[in-house]
Amino acid sequence: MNKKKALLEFLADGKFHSGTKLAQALGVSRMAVWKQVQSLRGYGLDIFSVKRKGYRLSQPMDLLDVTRIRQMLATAMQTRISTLEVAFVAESTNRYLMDKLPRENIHGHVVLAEYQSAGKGSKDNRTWVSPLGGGIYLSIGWHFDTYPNSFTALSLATGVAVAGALQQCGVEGLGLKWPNDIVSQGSKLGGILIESRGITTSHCDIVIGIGINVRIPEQVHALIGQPFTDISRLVRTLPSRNQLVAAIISATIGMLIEFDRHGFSRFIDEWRRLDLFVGKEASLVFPDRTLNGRVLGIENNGMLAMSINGRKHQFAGGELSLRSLE
Amino acid sequence: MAMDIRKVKKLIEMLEESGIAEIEIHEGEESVRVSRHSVVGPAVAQVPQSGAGAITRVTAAAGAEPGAEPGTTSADRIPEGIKVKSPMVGIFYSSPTPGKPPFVELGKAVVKGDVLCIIEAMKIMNQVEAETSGVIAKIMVENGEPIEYGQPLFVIREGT
Repeated sequence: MNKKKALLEFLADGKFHSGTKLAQALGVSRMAVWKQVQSLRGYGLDIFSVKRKGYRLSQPMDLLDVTRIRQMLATAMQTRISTLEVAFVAESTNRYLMDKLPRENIHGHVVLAEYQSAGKGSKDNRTWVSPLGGGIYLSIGWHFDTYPNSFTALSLATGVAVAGALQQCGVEGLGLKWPNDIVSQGSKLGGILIESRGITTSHCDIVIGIGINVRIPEQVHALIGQPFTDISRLVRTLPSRNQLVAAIISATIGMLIEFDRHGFSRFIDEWRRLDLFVGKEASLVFPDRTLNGRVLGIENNGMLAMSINGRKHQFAGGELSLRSLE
Repeated sequence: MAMDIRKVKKLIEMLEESGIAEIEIHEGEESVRVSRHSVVGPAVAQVPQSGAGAITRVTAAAGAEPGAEPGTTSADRIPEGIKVKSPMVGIFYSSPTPGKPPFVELGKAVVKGDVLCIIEAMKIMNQVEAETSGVIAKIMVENGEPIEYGQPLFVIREGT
């Protein structure tokens, strides 16, 4: 794996590198370089190879860098992080932290990956398509001494934190789809999945998984089973992933500290400002049925309120989508 | 109000025992409704049902059903032990992923900290751990069932 990473560090500048020079620098044969290039292509990278010129990435790439991320973190958050690490490839960053429980302390442990081979979408085994360097795949571990009040609303508060961090980095036109999808112009930009384990009457440990599309290469577009967008289409100058990551970590940890003290109340107004569905006709899809109605908004506990046949109902699950009224 | 305060108290206890969100009892002209939820607005507790996705109004009109006299039904059949309750509203899953064997079964020994089930809601998947070591004496909910906050899920008989 180190060889792949080392190769990518050469290619990241987006310029041509000859196979011979790469082979020398990495201490391997030219055939081995070619094999590594093939395998990087398998991770979703667009690498040209041109005779007598060598290999070149279609676009320069900013690799994740722990030192740079640390420098850009909000000062107050620096001390809240116990470990900050980048795994070049991870099955899933959430899985990586969850597997440490219950034995290890994951409080303040932040993990990033350049590529996820099995990024988690949600319970029904959807995967988060995670091309190498094309997005942000980030998990944050945290410990609560007691289950916070309205625990499920933590999911919505995280959406507020992440959307705020992206706005701070110049990404405009963002909104939220219940419970926490980050959406722009009807397309998904990012998703959040929280996993946790704990004893109801005492503590809990949580892992917040955040996936953001930064620049999704064309060759993986077909793998994503829903309308999506990425940050590169929403900004004039693309912020570096390190900058985005630092902003997201700072905002999320800040949110966790607030949520532990005050619950969802500090985030509800902002969630409602970002709510893209309130007042709209929508469908709420469950595995075996679909309910249609008008979205009334969110309750103080984070549940979705909908008016269905003139009656108000509250929901803690289901997949929301706008209904086209033809 | 003619209804005995002790009856109301009993009602509240039953409610807490049962995991039901709301009970309404009619006695002649009088009626009382007790709800465990302090949601703003009307005290409805509606959750999507299971993977099934139906909505259920979690209400029980205890007086309406013969044989559902206070204190004589399900509460008495619950074995002694520690009740493990849900920390959140959501759907109860007995196994890590569909088709996999359940985390625990009736009569199985568990150690404090073992995962008993998953409750899922709003993109949170929460693994509920055993708060004590012992034997699973009762499983009070079924796979795919909608769960209320504080609803008892398991009874663990303490000891190893």
